Amino acid sequence: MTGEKWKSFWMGTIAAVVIAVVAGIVMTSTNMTAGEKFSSSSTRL
Amino acid sequence: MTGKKLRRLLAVLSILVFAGLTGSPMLSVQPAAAQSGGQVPGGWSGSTSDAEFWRAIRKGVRGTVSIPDKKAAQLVQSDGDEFRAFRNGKMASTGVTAMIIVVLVLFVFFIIRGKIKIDAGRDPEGQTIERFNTLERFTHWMTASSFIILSLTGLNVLYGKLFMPVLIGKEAFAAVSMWGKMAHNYIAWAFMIGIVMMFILWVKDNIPGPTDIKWLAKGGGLFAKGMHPPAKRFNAGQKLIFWSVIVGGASLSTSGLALLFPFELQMFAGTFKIINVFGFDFPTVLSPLQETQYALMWHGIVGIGMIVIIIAHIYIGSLGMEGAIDAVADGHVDRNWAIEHHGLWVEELDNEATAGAESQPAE
Ligand code: HEM
Repeated sequence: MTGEKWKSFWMGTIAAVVIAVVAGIVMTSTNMTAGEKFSSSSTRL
Repeated sequence: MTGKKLRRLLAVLSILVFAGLTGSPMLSVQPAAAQSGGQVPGGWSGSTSDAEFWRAIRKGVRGTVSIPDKKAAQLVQSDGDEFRAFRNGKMASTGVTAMIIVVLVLFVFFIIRGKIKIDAGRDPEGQTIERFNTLERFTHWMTASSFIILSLTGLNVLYGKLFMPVLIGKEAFAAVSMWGKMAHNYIAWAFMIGIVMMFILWVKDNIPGPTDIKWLAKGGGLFAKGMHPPAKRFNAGQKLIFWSVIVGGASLSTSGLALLFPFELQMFAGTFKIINVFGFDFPTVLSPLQETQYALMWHGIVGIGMIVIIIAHIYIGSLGMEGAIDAVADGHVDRNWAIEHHGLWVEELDNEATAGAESQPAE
C-alpha cells in the first residue's frame, strides 16, 4: 500500500486524523469549566 | 496561648453549648418530627412503611427539587435496568450473531463462487477508464478509515469487557478503552464530514431507476459466471450500499451527537410521534435520561447494522472481485472490467467522448 497508487488512501486517512485532532482540541476547550458546571444555573448539575 | 486567643476559643465554645441546649436554628439539632413525644409511628417516614417507600423510589417515583437539574427529582430510574438488560443481552448477542453470519455467508460465497474474475480478461492494451477522481477517492478513504476506527472502538465499548481483560489484562483494557473513547468521540467528526461529502459527490449517480430492477432480478450476475446485467455508473447493489451508508450514517451521526452532548439534543419522543402515525405505540413523553438510553440503543443497533453491511462491501471491493479495488486505489479501472460491470456507464462515456470529438473543429 505504498506509492502513488494509494495516495488517496493516505490523504484521506491523514485528513481524518487531522479533523479528529482539531475536533478534540475544540471540544476540550469548549467543555464547561468546573465553575460553569457547578453553577446553580447549570442544568447538568 | 495568648489571652486574646483564649478569649476567642471560649466565645466559640459558649456559642456551641448555647446553641446545643436551646436547639437554635444556627445549628439545627432538633429531633426529627416523627420522634417527637417518643412516638415512632410506622418508621421514620411516618405512617408509610419503609418497604413501600423504597419500592416507590425503586419504581421511579419523582419528587421535586429546587436545583435547575430536574432530573435529580428521580432517585432511581428503573428504565435504566431494562435498558441495560437489553443492551448487554439481546442487543449484544444479536449483534454478534449478525456479524458472524455475514462473515460465514461471505466465506461460503467465496468457496462456491470464488473471486469474480474479469471474464474477458484484462484489456490487452492495458486501457483504463477513470472511475473516481482524486476528491472522490479522498472522500471514500476519509470516510472508510474513520468508519473502521469508529467500528473497532465502538465494538470495544459494547463487547470489550467480555474478552479484552483476559486477552490483554485489566490495566491495558482500561487504557485502550479510554483512548478508544476519545478517538471515537473525535474521529466521528471526520466520518460526519465524509458522509456529507459522499452524498454531494455521488447522489446524482445513485437515484434508483428501471435498470436497477432488472439488475436485481438477475441477482446482479453475482451467482452465475459470465452473466453481467447492464448497469450505469453504480449498479443496484452499490446503490443499496450508498443509501445504507447515507441513511445509516446520518442516523448514527444524529444519535451520536445526542450522546456527545447529553440532555441537549432530544429527538426520540418527536420521532416516535411521527412513527406512531403508522399505527405504532411508542412512548411520546420521554425523560431526558430515557432519551439518552434510546439514543445509545439506537446508535448501537445502527452501528452494528452498518458494520454488517460494510463487511460485505469490503469483501466484494477487495477479495471478492478482480479489478474492483483499482477504482479506489488509483481511480482507474480496467476497460473490460468497466464494460462487464458497468456497461451502460461505459457507453455513456464513449458517447460523450465521440460527441466531444465531433464538436471539436477539425484542424
Ligand atoms: C477497507 C475498506 C474498504 C474497501 C476495500 C472498499 C472498497 C471499495 C471499492 C473497490 C469501491 C468501488 C466500487 C466500484 O468501483 O464500483 C467502493 C465504493 C464505495 N465505498 Fe468502499 N471500501 C471500503 C470501506 C468503505 C466504508 C467503511 C464505507 C462507508 C462507511 C464505504 C463506502 C463506499 C461507498 C458508498 C461506495 C460507492 C458505492 C459502492 O461502490 O458500493 N467503503 N469501496
